[in-house]
Amino acid sequence: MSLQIMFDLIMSGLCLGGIYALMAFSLSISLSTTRVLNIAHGGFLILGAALAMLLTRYAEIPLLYALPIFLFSWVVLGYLFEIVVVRPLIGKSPEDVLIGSILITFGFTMAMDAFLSFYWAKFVDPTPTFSLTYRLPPLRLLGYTISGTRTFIVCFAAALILGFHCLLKYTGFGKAARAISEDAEGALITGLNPQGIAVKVYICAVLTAAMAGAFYVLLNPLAPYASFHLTLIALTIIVIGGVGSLPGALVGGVVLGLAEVMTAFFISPAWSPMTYLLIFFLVLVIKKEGLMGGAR
Amino acid sequence: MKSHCRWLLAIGLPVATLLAAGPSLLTRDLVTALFFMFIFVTLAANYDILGGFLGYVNLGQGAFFGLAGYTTFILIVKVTAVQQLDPVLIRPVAVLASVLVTLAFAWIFSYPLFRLQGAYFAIGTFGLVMLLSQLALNLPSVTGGAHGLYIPKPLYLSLNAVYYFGLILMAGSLALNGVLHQTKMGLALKAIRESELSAAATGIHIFKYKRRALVLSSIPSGLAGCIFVLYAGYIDPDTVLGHDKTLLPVVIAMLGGSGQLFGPIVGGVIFRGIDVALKNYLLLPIPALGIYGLILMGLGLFMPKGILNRVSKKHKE
Amino acid sequence: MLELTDISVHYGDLKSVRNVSLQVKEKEAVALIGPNGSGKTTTLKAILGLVPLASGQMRFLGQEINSLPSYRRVKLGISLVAEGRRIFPRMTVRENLELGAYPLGGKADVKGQLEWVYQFFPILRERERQVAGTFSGGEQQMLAIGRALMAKPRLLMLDEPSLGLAPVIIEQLYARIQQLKREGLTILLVEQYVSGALELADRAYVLETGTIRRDGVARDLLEDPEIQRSYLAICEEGGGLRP
Repeated sequence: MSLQIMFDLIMSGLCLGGIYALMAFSLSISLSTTRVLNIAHGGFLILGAALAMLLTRYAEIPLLYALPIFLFSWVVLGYLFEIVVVRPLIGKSPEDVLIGSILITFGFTMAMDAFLSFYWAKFVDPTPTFSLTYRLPPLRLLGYTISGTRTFIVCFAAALILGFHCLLKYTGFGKAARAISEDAEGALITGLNPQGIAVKVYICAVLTAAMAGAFYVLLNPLAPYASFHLTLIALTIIVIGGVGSLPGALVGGVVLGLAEVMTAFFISPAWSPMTYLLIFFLVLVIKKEGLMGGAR
Repeated sequence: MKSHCRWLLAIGLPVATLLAAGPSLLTRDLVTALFFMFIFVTLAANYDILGGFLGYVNLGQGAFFGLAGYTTFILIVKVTAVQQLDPVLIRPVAVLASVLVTLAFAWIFSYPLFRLQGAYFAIGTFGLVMLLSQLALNLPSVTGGAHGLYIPKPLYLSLNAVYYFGLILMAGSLALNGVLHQTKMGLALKAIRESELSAAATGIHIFKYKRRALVLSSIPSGLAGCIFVLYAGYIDPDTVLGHDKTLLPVVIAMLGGSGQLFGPIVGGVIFRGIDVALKNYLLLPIPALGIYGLILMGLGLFMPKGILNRVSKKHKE
Repeated sequence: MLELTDISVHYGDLKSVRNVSLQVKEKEAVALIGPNGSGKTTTLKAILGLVPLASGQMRFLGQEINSLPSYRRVKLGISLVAEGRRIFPRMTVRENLELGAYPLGGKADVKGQLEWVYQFFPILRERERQVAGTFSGGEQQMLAIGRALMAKPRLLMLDEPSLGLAPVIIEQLYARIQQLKREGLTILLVEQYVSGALELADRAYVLETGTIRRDGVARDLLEDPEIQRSYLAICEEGGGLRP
């Protein structure tokens, strides 16, 4: 087992872990501020990957223009999504929120997956898969080769996570989001506008997820129907790290990323998609206190 | 109340006789369609034990369906590979074993699952289906992987046989729900739904009841899985663990009205209707699953409690 | 300043507040007293929009506020110090207070407002960076009031500020509230600590099982034998219990 291979594995694991952490945290924050578990969250990653691929490979728009189009689309989607899907649920009784949120977000995912693969197969590519190929030149460090692409992703993910941390800790918006997560009624009493916050949170969440999706397909291809898998992966991380916790998402994400990469290498690539499922149920059995309140 | 009963008999009796006579009166296609409907309504009714009584959305009801189906096939294939057994004996034995396995599975997994609540529980149960589906794909020596398994023709169940089995299962599941309303367990589940805290305070052993509910709901669904695969003669991860077996029962139960006795039937009929219409008449360039997804969204936005609950609410006002 | 006309609040089938009408005039301190479960907290919640009205009208500064969302009402100048403090336990004192100024938007002179609150409750300045959940009951109460004050309210509503506090702390607290009143703040006070409330207030309403039973000048109610018997545990023989 050479050190080079170890390096590669760890780099891949961190890379995947960073992406997972971003995905998990964006779901986590949307969950803790709106009390709605958005089952469609994984779908945002898929959409991100799809749009990235559409813009760069098919429409062949240069990166300079593609990037703003990409980012802007998610701002729009996040806004629309919050208004159509989440807003009707805010402020309702917990039971109504539960049934409603499951129906709406689950239905959305089903519909989105189906429409995306159907029309992609029809107009773009009969076997819908999303992947990007931007290879950055590898770096050399102390005689070892490190994948340039992976380094880029890890750095970008780390920067985004750091950005989130600062957003939450230092901005008014971040503090308001934290307040709503802690005590929804207390936030109302303090005069915070939960709907205004929810919109901003969703825009951030969708943006982050879409970017995470685009990064993901730099590494591995994705199929349209992976939405549920991705949402469940995000949920596994939230179960490990706790709702609304950024460090928790980071740790959980990295753990899961490393586990998947190690499983693929040491056992078999066929088993690595199952890693998170096993971890999910294992953590549930071990974690005595279960989950705190959250999406009830 | 009385007029209710009269309506029920007026509609119910002729429908029941029609169904009972089914295969001899109706076309083969219709019988098949009805059979599928029976299966879905059974799954929906079983789902409702958790969904309607306990208030927990179980997106993994299809796990029991698929697990039982796979167990039946695996047993049959493995055993017939070793020795030729009496075909009359092997099927009931395989089915019985499958139901037991499914039961045990539900029992075991209730431990991790019920650590979750609400939407977490929902997506966690979905994880169960994905787990089984991945296992099926990754163990081709046992399950045939993506290619699936076949059983020899003589072991197939005829359409008529499964039609009646299905009808009995459906009637049984609905009756089970009806009876559950009257029993201590039903009461306990409803109490837990209202407020877990208060229910615990009154000494109800919450976890035991939840586990019982899950195990109970797994049995008819497992049986449904067995007869389904014995009719089809073929199994693969998509047919038994795919989205339609796992999600549609939920859609149907919710469409009809969660917690209502006839909810699954109403939902099942409407759904079959939409399905048949889509596949045969309204040939639109839109994927079926997409439409089901939109229906779910519409339900969530406008009628989360389902049709029958809406109707009975209107009656009250 | 605040006018409630014939309001009712229902919790499902339970008619928690029925046909309640009350008024709070500018610079007044009004007390709302009554036994447990009589609907006092619900009334305050309705004023802030945390629970919907089944019927009736509410006006603040002449403006109808029935259909306004809660955060708008806070912006108009209604602040509530809720029952049980309701501060954000995982955030620091300073963050809690800064959030109190959120409704004022970008125009807020947060630092100035913070200074004012710190002068009022010096202990908050000392514990600025401390996480609020580690505070004692009395300190949390001060933080809650401080946070409500950060929004520069015209009307300050307090829901049982004395709940769970030691008598010595209650006295200090009421001294502070007294000072706020002197500085011209309009106050609506819900209390079970009746004697304290009636001494502080100008007028009072007695709420029982969701409806107003009595109202009048606080001083008169304090000396009223029926009130004394029901709420002040003062018996005819004299020398009863004082909370």
